[in-house]
Amino acid sequence: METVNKSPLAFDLASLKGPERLALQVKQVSVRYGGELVLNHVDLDVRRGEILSLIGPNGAGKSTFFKVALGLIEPAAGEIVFGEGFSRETTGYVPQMAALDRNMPFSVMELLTLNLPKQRFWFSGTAQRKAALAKLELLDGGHLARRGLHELSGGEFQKVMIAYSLLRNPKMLILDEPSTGVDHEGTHMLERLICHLRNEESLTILMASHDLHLVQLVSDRVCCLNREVCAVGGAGDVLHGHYLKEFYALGGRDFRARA
Amino acid sequence: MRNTLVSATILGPTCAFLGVFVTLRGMAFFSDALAHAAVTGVALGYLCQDLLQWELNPMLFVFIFSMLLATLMAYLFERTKLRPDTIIAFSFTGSVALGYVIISALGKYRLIDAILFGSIYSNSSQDILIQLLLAVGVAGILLWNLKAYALGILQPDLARVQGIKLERLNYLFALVIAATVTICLKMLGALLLSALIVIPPAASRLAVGNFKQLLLLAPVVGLLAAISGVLTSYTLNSPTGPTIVLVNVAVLLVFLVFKAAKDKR
Repeated sequence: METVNKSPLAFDLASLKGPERLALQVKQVSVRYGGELVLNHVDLDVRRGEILSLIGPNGAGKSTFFKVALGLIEPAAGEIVFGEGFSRETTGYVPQMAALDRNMPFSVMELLTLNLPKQRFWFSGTAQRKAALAKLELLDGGHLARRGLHELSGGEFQKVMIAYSLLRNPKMLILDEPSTGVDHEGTHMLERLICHLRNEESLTILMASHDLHLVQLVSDRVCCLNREVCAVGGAGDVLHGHYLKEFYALGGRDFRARA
Repeated sequence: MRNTLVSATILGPTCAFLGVFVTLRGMAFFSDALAHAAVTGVALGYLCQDLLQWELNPMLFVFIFSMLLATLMAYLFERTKLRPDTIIAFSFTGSVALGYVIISALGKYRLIDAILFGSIYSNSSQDILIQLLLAVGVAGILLWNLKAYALGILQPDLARVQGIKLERLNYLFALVIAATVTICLKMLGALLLSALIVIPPAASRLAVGNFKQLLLLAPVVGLLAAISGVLTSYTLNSPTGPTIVLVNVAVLLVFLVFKAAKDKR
C-alpha cells in the first residue's frame, strides 16, 4: 500500500452484467425530519468494487443517506436493495469522527473488541483479541492497540475506526467524512488505505467527503448530493463540471493542480 | 453496627459499578432526580396505608413512582425540544413538592428527616437480603449487556448497526437505576444517595486509562469509602449517611490532588 494506485480489480467487472454489478441500489428514497424533506427521491446505484464518493454542502443529507442505507433511519418513501452477496450485515460503517467522544476512557483494543461477533464479555476471548490485533496490524496500526482513544491523532483514530469496521469482514465500507479532523499526513495515509482496501481486499467503498482533493484522488465515481442527486458520474466529469460552482463557489480553482 | 457494615459492603460497590455507566452516559443528574422522587414514592405509600388501609411496603411505591417518573422524563426527552437538564429539574422539584405536601397532610413530619438523609439504623436482615439481590441483579444485567452498553456510550449508531436494541436497553438501565435508588434510600436518603453512585467512578476515572480498569477500580473505591464512612460515623458519633458522603468527597479530593500532581510532572 505504498503508492496510490487505481489498479484493475481482482475480478473482472466487465464480465458482470446488469444488477449483478451492483452492490447497493437506492431507489427513490425520501427522508423527512419533522416536516423537512432531507432527501428527495434519491436514486443511486453503487457498483461492485468501486469507490463512490458523495460530495455536497453541509446539511445536504449525506450522513442521512448512509443511515438509510444502514437501516438506522426508516425512509418515508423508496427502498434499499442490496446486490447479491451484499447486505447490512456485510457493510462496515465508519461514522463521522465527531460523533464519537474520544475522551471516553476506552483503549483502542477495548473499542475494537466491541465489534467482535458473538462475544458478550471482552475480558475473555484471547483468540478474538488476536484477530482484532491482526486487523489493526494489517493497517500498520499495531502500535496503537494499547493507547487510549484520547491519545490518538485524527488520522490514527480513523485508522482504528476502519480496523473496527473491518472486523466483521464486510464487503462494503461506508466512510462518513473520513478526512475531517485529520492532518495532511493523516489524509495521505487515508488515501493509500482506501485504495488498498479496494484494490487488495476487493471492498466496495462508499464515502462522503468535503475534501475534494481526497475525493479526486481515490474515487471512481462521484455523486453530488444536495437533498437530491444533482450529478453523478466519473470523478473527473463531476468534479470539473459546472455543478460544483453552485455548491462551493470555487471560482474556477483547479483541483488537478493541487493533486 | 454489624448490619450497617454489611449493607455498606454490599451497596458501596454496587452503586459504584452502576455509577460507571451512569457517569459516562451523563445521567448523574437523572439518577439524582430519581432519588429525590423517592420522597413522593414514600409519601404515596403512607397515603395508601392511611386512606385505603393497604399494608404495602412503601418501598414498592418508591420503585413504581421512580419508574413512572423515569418513563415520563424519557418521553419528554424524545418528544420535546426542552433540554434534558430542564426536564429533570422540573420533574424532580415537582415530585419533591408533591411528596412534601402529602407528608404534611398526613402529619408525618418526623419521616422527612429519614427520607432525606437516611436511617440506616433500621436495617433488618430482610433488608440485607434485598440488598444482596439488588447487587446480583445490577451486576448481572450490566455485565450481561456490557458490550452493548459500552458501545451505546461510545457511539449509539455503531450499536444499532449491530442490531442492538438500544431503546430497550436504555429502559432497562433506567429500571436498574430506579431499583438501586429504592433500595439505597434507607441507607443514604434521597438528598445524598447519588453521591454513592457518582463519586467513586468520578474519582476512579481520574486514575485509570481504560474501561476495564474503571470497571474494576470504581467498586473498590466505592467499597472502601462506604466502609470507612460507616466506621468514621461510629467513631465520631456522626450521622451515617452524610458521613459516608463526606468520606467519598474526601476520596475524590485525594484523587484530584494526585491527578494534578501527576499532570504537573
